[in-house]
Amino acid sequence: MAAYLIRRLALAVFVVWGVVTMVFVVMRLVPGDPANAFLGVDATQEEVEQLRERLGLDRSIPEQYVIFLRQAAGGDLGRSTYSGQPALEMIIERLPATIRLAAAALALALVTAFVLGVVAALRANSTLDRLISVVTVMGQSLPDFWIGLMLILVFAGILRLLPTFGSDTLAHLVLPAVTLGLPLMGATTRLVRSGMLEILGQDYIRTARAKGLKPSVVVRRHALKNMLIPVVTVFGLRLGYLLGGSVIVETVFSWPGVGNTIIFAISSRDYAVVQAATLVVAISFVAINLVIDLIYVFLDPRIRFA
Amino acid sequence: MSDLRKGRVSRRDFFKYAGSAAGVVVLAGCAPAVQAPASGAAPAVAPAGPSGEITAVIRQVINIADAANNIGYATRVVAHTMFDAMVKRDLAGNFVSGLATSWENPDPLTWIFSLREGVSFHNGEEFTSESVAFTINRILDPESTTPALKPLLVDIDTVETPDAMTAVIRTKEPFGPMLNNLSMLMMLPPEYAQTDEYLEKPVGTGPFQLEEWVKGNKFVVEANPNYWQEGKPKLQRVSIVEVPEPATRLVALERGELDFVHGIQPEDMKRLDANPDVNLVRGPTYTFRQFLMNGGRPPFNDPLVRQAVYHAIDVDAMVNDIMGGTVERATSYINANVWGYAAQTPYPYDPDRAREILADAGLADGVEMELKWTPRDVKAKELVEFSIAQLEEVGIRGKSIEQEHTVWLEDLLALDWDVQLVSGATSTGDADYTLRRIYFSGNNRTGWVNAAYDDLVTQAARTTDLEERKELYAQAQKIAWDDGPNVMLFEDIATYGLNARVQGFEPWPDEPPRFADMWVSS
Repeated sequence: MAAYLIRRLALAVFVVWGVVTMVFVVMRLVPGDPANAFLGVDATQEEVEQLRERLGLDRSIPEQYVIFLRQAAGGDLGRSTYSGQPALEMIIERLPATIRLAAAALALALVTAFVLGVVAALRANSTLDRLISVVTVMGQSLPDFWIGLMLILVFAGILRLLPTFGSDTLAHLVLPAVTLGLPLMGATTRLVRSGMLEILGQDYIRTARAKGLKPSVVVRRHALKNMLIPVVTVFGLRLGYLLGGSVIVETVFSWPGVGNTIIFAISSRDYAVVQAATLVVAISFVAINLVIDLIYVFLDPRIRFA
Repeated sequence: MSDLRKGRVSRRDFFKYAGSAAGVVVLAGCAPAVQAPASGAAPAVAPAGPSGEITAVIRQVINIADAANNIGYATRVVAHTMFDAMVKRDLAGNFVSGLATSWENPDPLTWIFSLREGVSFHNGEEFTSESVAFTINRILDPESTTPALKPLLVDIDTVETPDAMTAVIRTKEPFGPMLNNLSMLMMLPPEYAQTDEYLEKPVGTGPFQLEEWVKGNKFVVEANPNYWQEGKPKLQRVSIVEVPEPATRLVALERGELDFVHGIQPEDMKRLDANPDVNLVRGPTYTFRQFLMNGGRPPFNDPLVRQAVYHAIDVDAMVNDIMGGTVERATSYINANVWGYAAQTPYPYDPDRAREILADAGLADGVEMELKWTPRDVKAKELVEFSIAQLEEVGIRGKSIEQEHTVWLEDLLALDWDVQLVSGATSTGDADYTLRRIYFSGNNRTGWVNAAYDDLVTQAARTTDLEERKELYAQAQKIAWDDGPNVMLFEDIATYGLNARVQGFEPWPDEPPRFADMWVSS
């Protein structure tokens, strides 16, 4: 186990380095220049040249890369061209809001999906099953900006039950979490339903029933745990994406997460911020994957580290 | 204002009226009908001390609060909220005293400012001539890491501080836009501004001081209890929040979660006009939209071709049909609200004339060109498609090239284009900023070279007599209009949505709202 972990961690460092390097190079190869973006339409070429020099963009890409690595090794990822703030700090100070929203959306999706999925499997092909199926397909296929705006219109505009935007109270969390959680809820419900149906037909379930266990115990103790693996996989991947920020939901509800920061940084070629964000997201992604691989073992003792 | 009701007053006259009528909150820029403030609103009496709070949305995200290192719109909102300049402009465009109580210009190279006594920064630092010297030198220092305002001050040679309340600025050459540019230069506290903390928690002498700043989300200020100007601010707190989605903003404004929104979508105007809880205000701007033609490469290096383009495009149809009356036709190379503006006669839409001119230029068979644009500009796609169709009619075959904003900017500055759709603003409000920066051939921004024009704008910058400067700019604008590289399309009208309880708002042509003048009726 220890050897496995060490190998995985070494690999993780390599992956993170690779991602950060790739983004470093790609950002510099795509057309569009940070100095131009910063100075805008009124700039003269002389001013652009001066700013490029100050930002170190007049050096060659390999030279810039060496400087970047040297500073990054010391924990310094540079400063935003715009705010002058340390780039890493900008990402980290907005991460909690993103995590809060992602966690709420995941929890909501998980609970709803299990309830709906199990019910749909137990009553397969009934009207209730079809109704759930309609809801899940809608959750998966309706675009999130549309769902978000409709929720705002109904719950904030017409019913006046919930606030339109912001992040101060728990009430502010409801609409964005539902919007973000719906597609995941849809996908997971279908996964739970089909997994349950498959498992419910297996021999060991028949055995459990045969020995007189109550249906609820059969489902909880024998069926559920065995269909968790695909669900955990899907959730792990989604969590990784959500930590990169859900730009659309953040925009619609004015949620102060990292998504908007990253989009603004990319479109304005704010290299330091993009690099810091990439680093944070890559590390989270790799860490989550590692944790999920470890969870598999606890869910299914047959899985062994090799 | 009876003329307004009859619809006989032009928009420009209207804004003049509006500017002089204190407390006018609802303006109908180009619509003839003027609405009274929403019925049932409390009589507009300002409170004695700061009270009440509002939540506001401005047009852009506040990324930079260092008011002496940026002149973008969002930073200027911060500037007018938390900082003061030595010289200010009033709504009529006159220079009035800010942190300087008076000034003189004994010779063209010397400016002497007497400073206001007893003013302190929000952190307690005292405002003195050292603040003036520090603020200017911080920008002009060759090693400066905050040089963004350098172009506005580049002619300054030295700042002297003979005593604590006197600052003497000497210039290398006579510098016409001096007072105007100083009105954009916010004074900083010399000690605190050198710390890293300043970038996070900026401090000025202005009517409000920072309470909380969550980057990209909200910027909250509270009344400065020691503000030097009697009776200001009238609000206790202003929360500037970021709500990027227009539909969300609209619902929040209607619900009263937002009190002030700068920038109403054209399609939402009707709905808000009908809402008694919201006042819709239209105001002037310094912005303009144009097709910029590359004077440095064929076919647009030929002034005849540029004129043909002007005659081939129906600008009035654009203004009315595409922009839905949220703009007004441009009548010079700068916006009519900018100091130094001189009206020119619009080119009539006349495709036959355009064909004749092209034939005269020896291009009867037509020409090919590429038109680059960026979707960040409102209705850019519609404007480009409309123009390409019209140009095709006279034999100018255009290819539309859509570009991401940053890529588009890079091409713009590299002069890598035939025609570009450009959205611009004379941010300083002084003709010098646009006429000398963009079209002066030495700056190589358009490929257009006209020695007489270059002379005029240089001379205007070197003259401190305002009337003389105005005359020189008028001549320069005439040359540009007849010979220059642009088809000037239109000027924007700013739109603001206000909760009916918000009082005292007046739209300024530079656009940042002056929260210090606003209050809420109980």
